[in-house]
Amino acid sequence: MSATASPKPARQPERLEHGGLIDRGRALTFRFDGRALTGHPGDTLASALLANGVRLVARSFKYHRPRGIVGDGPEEPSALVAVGAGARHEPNTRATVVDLVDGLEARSQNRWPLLRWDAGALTGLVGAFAPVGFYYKTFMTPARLWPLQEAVLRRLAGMGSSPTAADPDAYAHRGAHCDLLVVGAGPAGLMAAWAAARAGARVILADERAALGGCLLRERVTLDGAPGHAWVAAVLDALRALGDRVTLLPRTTVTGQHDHGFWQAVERVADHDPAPAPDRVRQRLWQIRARQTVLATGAIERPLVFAGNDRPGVMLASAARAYVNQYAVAPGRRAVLFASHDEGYRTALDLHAAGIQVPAVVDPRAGVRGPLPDRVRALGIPVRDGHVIADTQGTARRGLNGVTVNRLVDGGPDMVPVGDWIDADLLAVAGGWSPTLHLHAQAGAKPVWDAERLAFLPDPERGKEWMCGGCAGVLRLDDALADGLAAGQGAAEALGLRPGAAPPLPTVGADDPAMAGSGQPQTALWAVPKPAVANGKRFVDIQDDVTVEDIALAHREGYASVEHLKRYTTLGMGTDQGKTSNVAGLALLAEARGEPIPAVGTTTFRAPYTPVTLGALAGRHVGAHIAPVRRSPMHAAQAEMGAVFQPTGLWLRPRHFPRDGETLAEAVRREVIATRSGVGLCDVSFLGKIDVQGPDAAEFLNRVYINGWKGLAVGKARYGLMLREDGLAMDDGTTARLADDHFAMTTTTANAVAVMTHLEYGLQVLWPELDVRVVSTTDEWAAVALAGPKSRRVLEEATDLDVSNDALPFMGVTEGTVCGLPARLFRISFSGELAYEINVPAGYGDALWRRLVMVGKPFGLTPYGAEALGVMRIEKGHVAGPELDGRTTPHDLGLGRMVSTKKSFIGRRLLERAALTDPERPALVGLVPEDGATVLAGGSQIVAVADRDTPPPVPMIGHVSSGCAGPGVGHPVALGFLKGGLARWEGQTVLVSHPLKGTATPARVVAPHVYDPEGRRQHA
Amino acid sequence: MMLIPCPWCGPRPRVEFSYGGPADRARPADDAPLEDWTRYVYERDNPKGAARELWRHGAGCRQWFVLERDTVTHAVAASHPLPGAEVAP
Amino acid sequence: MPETADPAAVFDRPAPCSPLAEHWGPGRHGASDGPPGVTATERRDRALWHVDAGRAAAPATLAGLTLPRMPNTGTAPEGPDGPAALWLGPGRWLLVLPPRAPRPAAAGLSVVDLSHGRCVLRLVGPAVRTVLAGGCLLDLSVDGLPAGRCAQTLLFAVPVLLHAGTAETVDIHVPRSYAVALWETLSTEALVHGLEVCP
Repeated sequence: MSATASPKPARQPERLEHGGLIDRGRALTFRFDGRALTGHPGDTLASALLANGVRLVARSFKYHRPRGIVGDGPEEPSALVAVGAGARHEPNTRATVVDLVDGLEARSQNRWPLLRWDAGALTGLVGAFAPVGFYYKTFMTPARLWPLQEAVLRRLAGMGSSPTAADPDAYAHRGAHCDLLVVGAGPAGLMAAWAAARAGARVILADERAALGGCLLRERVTLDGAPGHAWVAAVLDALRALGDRVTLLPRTTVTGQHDHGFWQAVERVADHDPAPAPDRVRQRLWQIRARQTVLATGAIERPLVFAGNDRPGVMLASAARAYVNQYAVAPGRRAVLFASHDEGYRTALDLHAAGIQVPAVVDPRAGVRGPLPDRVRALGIPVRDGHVIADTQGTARRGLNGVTVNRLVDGGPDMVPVGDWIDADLLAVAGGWSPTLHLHAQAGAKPVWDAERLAFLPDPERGKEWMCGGCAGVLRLDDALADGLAAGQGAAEALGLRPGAAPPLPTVGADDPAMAGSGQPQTALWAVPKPAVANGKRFVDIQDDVTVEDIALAHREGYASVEHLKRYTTLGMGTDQGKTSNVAGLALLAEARGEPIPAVGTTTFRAPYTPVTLGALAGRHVGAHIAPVRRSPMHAAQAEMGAVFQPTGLWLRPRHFPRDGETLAEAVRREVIATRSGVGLCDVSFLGKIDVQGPDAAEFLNRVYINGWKGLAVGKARYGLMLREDGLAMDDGTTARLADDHFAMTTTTANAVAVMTHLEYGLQVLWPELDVRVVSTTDEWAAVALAGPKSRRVLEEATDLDVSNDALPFMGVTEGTVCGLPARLFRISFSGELAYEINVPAGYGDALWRRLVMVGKPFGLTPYGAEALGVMRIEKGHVAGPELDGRTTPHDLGLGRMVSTKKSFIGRRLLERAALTDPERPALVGLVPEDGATVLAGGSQIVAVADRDTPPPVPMIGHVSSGCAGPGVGHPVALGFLKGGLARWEGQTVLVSHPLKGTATPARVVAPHVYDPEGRRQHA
Repeated sequence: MMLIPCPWCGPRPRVEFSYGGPADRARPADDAPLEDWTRYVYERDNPKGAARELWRHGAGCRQWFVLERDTVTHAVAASHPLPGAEVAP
Repeated sequence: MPETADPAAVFDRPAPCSPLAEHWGPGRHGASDGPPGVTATERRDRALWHVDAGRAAAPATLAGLTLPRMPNTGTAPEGPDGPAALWLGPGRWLLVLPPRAPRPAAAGLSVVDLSHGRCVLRLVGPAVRTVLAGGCLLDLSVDGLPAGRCAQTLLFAVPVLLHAGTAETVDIHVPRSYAVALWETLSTEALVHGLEVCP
């Protein structure tokens, strides 16, 4: 849908005719619960809904109470809606932070069948039986009913529904470095950024809202004789004029502080756009390293707690005036203000100035006098001091329609039930300001309670971030501006910059309400007493439906710690994380405990400050890019031949090369038989390759392998096994000697990186006196295994090297040209067949593969993959990953004879421990099913035949580590470990048990080398 | 995320490094008592506060070095090359 | 039975193929208004030599290039298109030389050919550093990575060596096996700035 050219004011009944920072010249169309509505650029979804007279937007979490819009920003606890359709559906989104875009689709949630008539509201009737924590005490018996009860509870509880299709949007990250990060672009933040930028600092200025300016956009203030937003525009122009040095980030929430000046922030680049431009990301996660940081995050207003305080129409006083001033929306037409401090009276002034009736201001403090209350009285608005709102009334659909006022006796807790009724459709509540110090506290700072200002203030011991303005408790506008300037200059000095000319502080209008001195101190009224008969509940946490009574109950039941209070009642655990409810909650707990607030303290602050979508955290690393995929040099050629790839760690390896619709088993069978009877070709480029050079290279290999290397002749390769320092096998491979002081080592695919790290540890930390140089060459060489009785004949067609058994015997190494390509040739066999491994520089890998396929065609050369490779090595009895699982020693693996007694090597000492040389340890055996047909699965547990009918627990005498169908030997073959090994079990039958399938297969224990045990074929 | 000062590359994000155990430990001789080896392989102090640690700049210059770090505040005091490894003049 | 002529003569020496062969689409991609923010080329006409002096004193020069002693610096006396010596670690360097230049050698040096083990991507343009910042936590501004500076780091989780030739030219050395994965993510990141892929 495109924006229409002309506005349609008649369709926005609550839009004020003048004022606001919206673009009245353009109209945006959006839908709420299917209804088409209009708004303007500059609106949030919340302001646009209010402009259209929509006051009921949600149903609450537990009691399904009708709810409206409480705030105007990220602290919103109540107006949670679902935005977007289909795969872009996003539940539990605060309508106050959704910037209106054309075509936006939003829906209320947590209600059935309709928002205005929700069956779930019936739970409110049983509310007395479902107080906080009820689910810990009910539904215990009969246990068989629980699944039914749970299903019902699940339907009733919870909010929103998840999308079921993959997120179609793209997200990205951005690393950034700056001298100074300023969080918050209100008056203090703007001054700080300006001061530091002028001093030459590289500055990033981030604000969570779409437009920079903070409270200057929401309040009626004059700076240097002009409206606040005009001054903001001038400052932003000045910042932009400083060029690349300043980065402005609107709609970017700084969500977390991490070590050493590292901050994460989420930029809503194109959020909720139903038709985003191609290549555009939806959100960007900024990862900022800042040398200094200024927090100018302002403060969040607290509501007041009284019966019926959750009705649509009850709104934070600062939000009420923000809707009037910034969005030109009347949140109501007849407004009562309930304020416990002077600053809240500004709302009465602003509403009155917008033509909204204000029948009364209600203030619990007795005998209220001061500049702001007096100005309100001068307008003819009655101030009912010493009174409180005791209750509210209203309908689900239309919300609030009136309030009940009682007189407070001596500041409470007693009330005189005067019961005065005032018609009103808006109740603006002002319960004081809580500095937004979450980012400061995330780093472990302990906020300090100020009993006079009734607020938690930043920890003075912390001294890392510069806190200024509202978040430091500095609420007066002129003070906040000066505070920001001082912070910016302080940060610049800490950076070693000369401050230079300070930016000019604007003059705040003398009669500006922002300048009114304070009259009386605020009163601490954490909850209005409950009247004898009340329509409503007294909610503390509006999002999670936690009431005053719930807190009292939790305390009575012994949950006296603030952390327990939180978890038992769920106070502060919603998407708003208690931004408007935590202070009242802990204050009420303090009252119940009879202790001062500092004794109760706050719960732990953790990142993120506001919810972050998983997409933003993942960035580009989704789908196939969740981790970087590594490909063989021959990947394309193999794909052309129909290879099916599987991940092995980061690598993509061909698993098999199916033909004509073969299953995996059929393909593997064919590949194995073809290789064992003819010739096969397999990509082994994934194995780790390490070049080891230097005068002490052989000595170094002696220290890392269990076997000896000094006697290995040039032009020969040898199998080696490495241990961890605790004596357990770590990795194996073949290492070839290319020259006296030059070796080419291979490792397993999975351990390549770990082995390289291990070698470097040895050379740098353990034995810096050795002169050895190592470098990974895994990516330098493409490698294939050419295996089978016909492999020599194929090779003879491909090279003019002498590859006869005499010239290149088993484990020999040579270099030359193969298929016209420079190659290293190793006569090594993993399959047990006559075999060669051919290495060429990786850029020739594709050519090598294709040329060998061509040369091998007359011989029936068959490509085989990882599965067939694994089958053949199991048949041959070679150990691999499943046997080198970190629990086995060389003795367990049947390689005890390789352990040198003449040299020192890593793991030698602890390998000698009695427990590791105990002959009763599980040791490697081969297993063949008695029926010659059942495949023995890796992971199967082995028990004695005598224990077939023993009731559990049955002693486990071993396990199967690797198993296969054994196409190369005609029957299934497995490798495993049995206590006492071959010495105890050879020739005997054991039971191979698969508990998940409920089977127990008799199997005969044999030597592990089932295929060609004498090794004739590989020595041919 | 911590900023770790590699003695060669300077401050780099922690993701480029891996931790390698406590510093200042000597690998026992082959014939040392089993208790020495057991301590070397299995036992670790868990200091609350100042610690000397071995770290490796795996995604960078691949050098092992000693890092002096507070395990509670994560404040980094200093980093040093291992004996025998030099830093550029 | 196939005829046995001199088998090796049947095959000529092909040009080494690039790991990006199937994934490299020459032309303009992404934003099409204005000049491209990033122009990408694969540098194929080069040899790469890994040189390690161990703990011994390394020579001052090798293959006509001064071996840089300052960490994370490179010497490239003939500019970005000429030979270069890049610092990798104490006593270790990567030499970028013309493909047919003789193998560098000096007493006590271990020299390993890595010409095939790395893919070298050259990115040129005003948006290069911004695009790289989409996957890297280093300061990649012109101050943070000035001309002549190099850095081994992680780029979109892939281990790479970055070498800044000029303010708008950065070479990325990536291990061959990772090249496709890195190129896919990097090119996606560059689309919004306009990407020109050179043949």
